[in-house]
Amino acid sequence: MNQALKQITQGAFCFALQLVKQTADAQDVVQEAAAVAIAHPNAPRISSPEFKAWFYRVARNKALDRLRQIKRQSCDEYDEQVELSGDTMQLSMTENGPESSLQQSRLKGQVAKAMEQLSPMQKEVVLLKDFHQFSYQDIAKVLDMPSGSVMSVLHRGRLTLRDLLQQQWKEHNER
Amino acid sequence: MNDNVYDDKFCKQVDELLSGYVDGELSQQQSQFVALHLATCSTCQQTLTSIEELKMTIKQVSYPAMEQQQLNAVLQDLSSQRMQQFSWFALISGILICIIFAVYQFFIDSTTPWYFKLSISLIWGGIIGLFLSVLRQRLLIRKTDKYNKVEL
Repeated sequence: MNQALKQITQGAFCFALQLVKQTADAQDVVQEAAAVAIAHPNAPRISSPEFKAWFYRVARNKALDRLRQIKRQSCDEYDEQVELSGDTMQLSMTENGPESSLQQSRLKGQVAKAMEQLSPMQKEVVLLKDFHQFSYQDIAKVLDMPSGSVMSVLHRGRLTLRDLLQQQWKEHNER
Repeated sequence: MNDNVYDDKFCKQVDELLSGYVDGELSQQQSQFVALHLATCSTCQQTLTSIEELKMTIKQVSYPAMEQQQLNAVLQDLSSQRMQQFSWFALISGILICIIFAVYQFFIDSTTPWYFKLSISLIWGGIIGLFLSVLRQRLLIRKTDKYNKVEL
């Protein structure tokens, strides 16, 4: 139970970080979300399956409030660099994928940069599905959108992201 | 020419379903439709492969974890929700037991005259009735209040 709660909290922190970009802000966002989870009359029980999507939704709303507050919509670099884990980062979308760790860290930046070029909704849907592994139904709950729209927004986002990455890698290989 | 138009039509239909197919979110019928088309269309097959690779790429990007101290503070906050629920349960149960015992004692007490018991019962019945009707009204308002979720 505690392990599950820990995972949900870490996940929500990560999602907040993906939105607000700064570790300190993301931590504040999660703390504010936890305060809402304790006090809100409609908060689901921590042990219930609805809690995860609900908590992400609160964290997302708090993150958007924070973004509005500090007016940092023009996305800066992550203050603690996004890291690529594992050595299986295959760039099979390009013919000559980078192999060294230096190239991998460059790719990390490219993914983050490409992600920022998506619309906010596409970015959130892609992150919730491909990074946080949410179901379409839960994504709809987190983003407060009709569940029927999730698949199309996700698909458009993925195709745009794919094209942007392919373009970036192509430009990089041409240099 | 006609074949191309026919293929394009199917490709367009399948393209919209490809992400759902990769994520296992389609109905059985839709999945079969996509699978049949993929067996014969290399373009859609390529799109499918690129989506799968993109998924893998995004999954492998990792982010810094929350500081242990901060994480513990949040977990403690969240755990207090359970403690709060238990405390409310204990408090309400205790009060209910006391009330039931007091009412029982009041009615079995032979030294109190029957008209006094009746008037006390009416007063309490009235208070409880009013409380329940106000409570019901408040709950109905809360359910239909469109600004209910604003605090989120």
